[in-house]
Amino acid sequence: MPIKIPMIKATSLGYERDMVSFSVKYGTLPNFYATAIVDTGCPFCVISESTIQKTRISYSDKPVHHKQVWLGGILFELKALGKCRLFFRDIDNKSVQFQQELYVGVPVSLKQNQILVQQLPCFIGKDFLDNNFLSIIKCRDGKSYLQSAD
Amino acid sequence: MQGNIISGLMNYEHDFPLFQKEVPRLRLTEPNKFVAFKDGKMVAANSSIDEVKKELNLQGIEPSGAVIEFVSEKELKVIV
Repeated sequence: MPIKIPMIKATSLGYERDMVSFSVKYGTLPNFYATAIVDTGCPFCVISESTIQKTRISYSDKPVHHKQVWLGGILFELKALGKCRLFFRDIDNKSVQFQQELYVGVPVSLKQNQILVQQLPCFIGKDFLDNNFLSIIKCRDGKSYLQSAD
Repeated sequence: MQGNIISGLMNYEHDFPLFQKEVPRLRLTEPNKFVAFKDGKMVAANSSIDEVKKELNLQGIEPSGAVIEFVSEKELKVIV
């Protein structure tokens, strides 16, 4: 049976985007929840700093994976959280679990546009879609899914 | 554990669109603040996310399970 995960249309940074909600298990901490833009143009899965700040995950000492990454006109460094377990809800309300490397997008300078920095979304990137053979499927009824090929 | 994850996820998925519907009003009442939503209603708002977390803990709500988003006074439009 192919994996079929319902997506939502939600507004992020002023425009409607294809997004998906999921839960992340990191170490022994309680799961945290996030909604991310599914973006085939984003190479990595990025958790925004404002999302990670609602957890007890200490990320300041994590290794920097990419030193200078521009996103929405803001300069970030991507810190590697390591492999985490991601849980999604499929169309039958069953959990679907994946292992995925996650990165935290941390703005390089606090002088940057703080209002924008606080609102930058999380991204489910191409790495996740490729690793799990998932594609965005858009149906005529307006619904969208993350669906596996087989 | 799987059942807890699914119920937590469904609660979060329930709250997220409700929060989104409220954003235009929140831009007026809670501008430039982090707003926490849980069980369909706003449960905390503050310009500091740490203060929002403290408030949630006082209410017995685990912050990592709540919708917490920053609401700017004016809507930003960004292509990413």
